[in-house]
Amino acid sequence: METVLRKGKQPYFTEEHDALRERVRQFVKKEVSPYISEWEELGTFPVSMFRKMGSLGFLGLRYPESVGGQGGDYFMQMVLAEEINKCGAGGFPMGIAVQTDMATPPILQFGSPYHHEHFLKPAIRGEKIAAIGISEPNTGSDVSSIQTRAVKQGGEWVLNGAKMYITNGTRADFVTMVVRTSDEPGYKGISLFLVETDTPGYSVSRKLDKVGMRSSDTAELILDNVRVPDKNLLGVEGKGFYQIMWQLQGERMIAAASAIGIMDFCYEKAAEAVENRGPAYRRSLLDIKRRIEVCREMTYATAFRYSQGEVPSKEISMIKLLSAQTAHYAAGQALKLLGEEAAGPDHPVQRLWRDSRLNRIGAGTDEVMKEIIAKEIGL
Amino acid sequence: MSHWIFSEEHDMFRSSFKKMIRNEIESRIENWEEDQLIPKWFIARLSELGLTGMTPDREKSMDEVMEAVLMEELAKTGAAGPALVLQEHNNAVSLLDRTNKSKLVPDFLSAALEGKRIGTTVAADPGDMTVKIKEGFFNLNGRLKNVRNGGMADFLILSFFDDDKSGFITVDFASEGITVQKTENMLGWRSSSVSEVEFRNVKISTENLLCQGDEAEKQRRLINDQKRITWSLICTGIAEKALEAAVSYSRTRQQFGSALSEFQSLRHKMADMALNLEKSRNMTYRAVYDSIYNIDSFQRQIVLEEAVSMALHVCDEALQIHGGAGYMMEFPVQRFWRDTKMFDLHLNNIPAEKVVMSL
Repeated sequence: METVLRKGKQPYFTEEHDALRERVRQFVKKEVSPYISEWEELGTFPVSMFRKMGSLGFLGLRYPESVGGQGGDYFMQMVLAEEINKCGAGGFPMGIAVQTDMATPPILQFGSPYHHEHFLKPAIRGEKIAAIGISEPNTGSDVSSIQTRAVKQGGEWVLNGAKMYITNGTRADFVTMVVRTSDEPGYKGISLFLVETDTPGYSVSRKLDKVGMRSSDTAELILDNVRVPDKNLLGVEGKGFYQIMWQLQGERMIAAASAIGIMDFCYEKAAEAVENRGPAYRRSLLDIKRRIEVCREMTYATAFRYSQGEVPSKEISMIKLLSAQTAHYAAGQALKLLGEEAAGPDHPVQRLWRDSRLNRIGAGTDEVMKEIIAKEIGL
Repeated sequence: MSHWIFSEEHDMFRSSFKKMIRNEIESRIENWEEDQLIPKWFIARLSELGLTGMTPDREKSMDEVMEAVLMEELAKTGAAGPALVLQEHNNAVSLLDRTNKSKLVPDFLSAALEGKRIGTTVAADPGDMTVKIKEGFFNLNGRLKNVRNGGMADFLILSFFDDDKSGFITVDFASEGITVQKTENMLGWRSSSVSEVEFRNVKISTENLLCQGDEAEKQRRLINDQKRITWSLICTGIAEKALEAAVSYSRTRQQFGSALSEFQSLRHKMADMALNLEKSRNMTYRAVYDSIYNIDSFQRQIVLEEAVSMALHVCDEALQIHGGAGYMMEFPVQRFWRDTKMFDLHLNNIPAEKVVMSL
């Protein structure tokens, strides 16, 4: 489906997008917001949410119908990300985004018919929970230095190592895993595998305790002689670094869309409460609003290019950086305007201030984004 | 693919216009800045090529997006002057065109469209100037400060408020009683030849009245709207030039045993500059779009403030990256810095009153 610029109105969204937005809003209102504080307390959200969202088609909005998706364009995905991020916490939407925009796009892009059948389709239906395994205890920003190693033995690969900060990690059914498959240093010799979590040797060593994003579970994983069949190799052996760099572009795009939802939500909360308290409050609101609108425009303009099949990595890095900083700023300013009454454990704005801090770290830190931009402008 | 607002035709236009600028304008900028004057042939040449926006044959006039490309690229000459000069001329032309007074067509509109006569627009400060109607004439006394194109323009479209009257009149600089004095060594915008114009008992026929009252108010709003977008485009162009200068200087300048471009503090500074530039650029293009379709958006209201603060940041940091060289008149970065500050000084003159109300 091609995105059509709506001439003479706002250019990005059609009536179909608006209709989806309304559906997602209703879903969030009925099925998410009433329970979010409970899930925050719990440190995770119910597995049934994947099923529910799968049956509504929300987990495959932009995937082709041939794999069970809705065949929509990228702005459909943007709508979902924005709206579920208005549920009052960043954790639950992050768990969903890992399912829809981080762990599964490489399966569609690089996967075999077997991968589509066995992993992608059940993930779109919400029957299998997906996670993505990139970071390790010793490797964060520097992806090319990962140490988890796969050695080929007959028709199988034997995996050893550890993965860190894995969202959905405590209950994933499979992990799209980045692993080293040869002794070549750096980005050479890295490959992707789809690892099923019921394979012997796979274990969750601990559930991590985080300052924010608490309604999403995060795990450390141990791989101890995990035997993965050769057919679970995703894409081309040795090309995993390029594949994961491609994946990260989508991850950064959706991070920006999610951030838009967070900043809109925080702004609305603050505006509702203090709009009538006089000019000083209005000036502060205006300052937040301006930053949001600038961020939104650049994010949409970049998303438009992405929806047309282009992957403009400079602009994607820019909106990832900008949206992360703006969302956290907006949440912080909104919190400040609301005052101490917003500091209570169930107040969504203090929660989003903690949650949005992760946007400046995950999917590439602010500093990593700046390095990419620097390279792209010729430095 | 560039931004969605541009078609292939626009991209092609941009690259051919770039060539024209490189061949005919860029090498002369330093002289024009020094002379504090852009020669008249600049507008004549652009008119001859059909590059002023509106053309005598309206069918061949540019669309608004092309005009945006034109202004942005002109600003990439590294000075605001040429784009400002063209904008003031175009403002005068489009005012004459929209108000369409047939008596004024041959001497002013047609001549201006052909680039034979150059126009400018300016608002009279009621404290400095009086405009009285006497026996079928406007009687003008006083002075106008900060008239851009003053050194080159043949006629002026004057916006006035006086005696509860307001309107626009066309004034020929050749009229008796007018003296033009160039204001030398302004902070910036030097090539736009800012001047002071003095009026001593100048008589202008009432036929030169373009519009008055509510109609004049409407025209003022249109001009301000256009100005907001054009100035944002100029800021974008100059900032892009400043960033390019910083990147290229940092790659050649060696300190502490390596190029400046190797230092992470400077790499991240330039990444921030690039990001700031791109976000303002996207806002500006969106404002162009919203203006074409007459969408009354938040983007349109705040675009200029965003563009100016972006350009101030980018040009200031570009100067910083040049170190001592950035402070030297022989490097153009000091001009980018001065020229963008001028926009900041003018921000208060372009009201964005709706922004606060829209909250």
